[in-house]
Amino acid sequence: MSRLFANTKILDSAPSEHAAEASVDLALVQRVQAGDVRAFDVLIQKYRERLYAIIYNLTANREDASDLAQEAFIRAFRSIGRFKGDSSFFTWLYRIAVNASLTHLKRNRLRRFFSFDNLSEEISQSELAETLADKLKTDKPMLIKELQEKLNEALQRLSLNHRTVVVLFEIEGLSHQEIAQVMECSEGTVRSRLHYAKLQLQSYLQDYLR
Amino acid sequence: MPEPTQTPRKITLEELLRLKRHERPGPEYWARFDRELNEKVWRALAQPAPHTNWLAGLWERRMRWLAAGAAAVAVGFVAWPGHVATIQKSAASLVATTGFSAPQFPSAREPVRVAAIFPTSENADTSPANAPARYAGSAPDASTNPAVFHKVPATVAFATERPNGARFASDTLSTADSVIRSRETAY
Repeated sequence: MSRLFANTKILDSAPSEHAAEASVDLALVQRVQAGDVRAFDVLIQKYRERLYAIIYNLTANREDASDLAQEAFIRAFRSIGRFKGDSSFFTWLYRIAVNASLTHLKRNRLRRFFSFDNLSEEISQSELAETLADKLKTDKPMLIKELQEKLNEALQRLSLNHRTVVVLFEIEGLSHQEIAQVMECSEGTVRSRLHYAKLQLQSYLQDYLR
Repeated sequence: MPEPTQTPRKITLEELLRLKRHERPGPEYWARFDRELNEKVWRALAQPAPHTNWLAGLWERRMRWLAAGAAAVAVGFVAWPGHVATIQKSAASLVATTGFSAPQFPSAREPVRVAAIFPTSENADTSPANAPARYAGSAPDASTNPAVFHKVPATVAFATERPNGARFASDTLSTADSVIRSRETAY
C-alpha cells in the first residue's frame, strides 16, 4: 500500500516539505535553462506518474492520458525558458497538463472512448473493500470491478471544471490554493466547485454510501 | 446480557474517490512511456519551437498576400483604361512645364497593331489597295517562283502604330481586348 501512496507523498506532506521540493525543482529547472537536458529527465521521472494520473482521471482513457502526458512534458520542455519560478514547478506543469486535457476533451466531446487501468490487487485486501462487500453482500472481486466502473462513470458525468477540482483535490491531494493556481481561478471558486461536485457525486454513488 | 449492536461503518465519498489512486499502470508501461517521451524530447530539441514555425508560416502567408495584392494592382493598372489618359495628362503637363517632349503613348481606346513578321521595308505601305500584284490572285508556288516568298527575319520587330491605315486588321488588338482574352484563357 505504501508504494501506491508514494506518488502522492509529496502532496500529502507538510507545507515546509512542499517548499523544499519547490526549491529542488527550481534548481533542476535552472539546470535545464542552462542547457542541461538530463536535468529534465529527473523532472520527468519525478512527475510522470502524478501527471499521468491527473490526465487519466480527467479523460478516463489510458491511451489519451499517455499521449497527453507526453505532450505536456514536451510543452513544458519547450517553454521552460520562460519559467520564472513565480509559482512552483509542479503547479506550472499541472496547469499545462490540465489545459491540454481540457482542450482535448472539448475538442473530442462527441468522440469518447473509455479505457481503464487495472485496480491494484492490494485494494481487495483493504478494509474499505471488506466493509463494502459485507454491506452490499457481494463477492469482493465483482464488487471492485463494479466499483471502478461506477466511480469512473460518476466522474465522467461531472462537468469539466467540477471533475478537474475533484481529481486534483480528492485524488491527487492538492490544496485549494494549489488548485486555484493550476486552474487560474480564486480559491472561493475552487471550494464552490468542489462542494457542488461532491453533491452530484453523492447522488450518483448513493448505493455505496448508504 | 444483550449483545451490543454493531453500528455499520459509514463509508464516505472521499474514501471511494481515493480508490482511484489505485488505478495505476504497471512498470512495463513506464518503460514504454519513457522511451517514447525520450524520442519526443530529442525530436523537440532538433525542431524549432512551434511559435517560430507559426511565425514563419504567418510571414509566408503575409508574403503570399502581398504578392497577390501586387498582382491584382498590376492587372487593375493594365485593365483600367483611364490610367493611360492620366499618364498622358501628366506627360502633357510635364511637357508644358519643362519643355521636354515626352514620347507618345497609345490610347487604350485606340487599336494597337502588331505589325507582324514582315521586314521593316515591307511595312512601309501594305494597305490592301496598295498591295503588290504578287499578293493578288492565286497562291504562288514556291518551287516555280521563289522570289515571291520573303524570309522571316530572325529578330521579329513588333511595332505599335497609330491608326493611319488598317493594313493588318487581323493583327489589330486593343490592349483591353488582349486583357479580356487573357482572362478568358485563364478562366
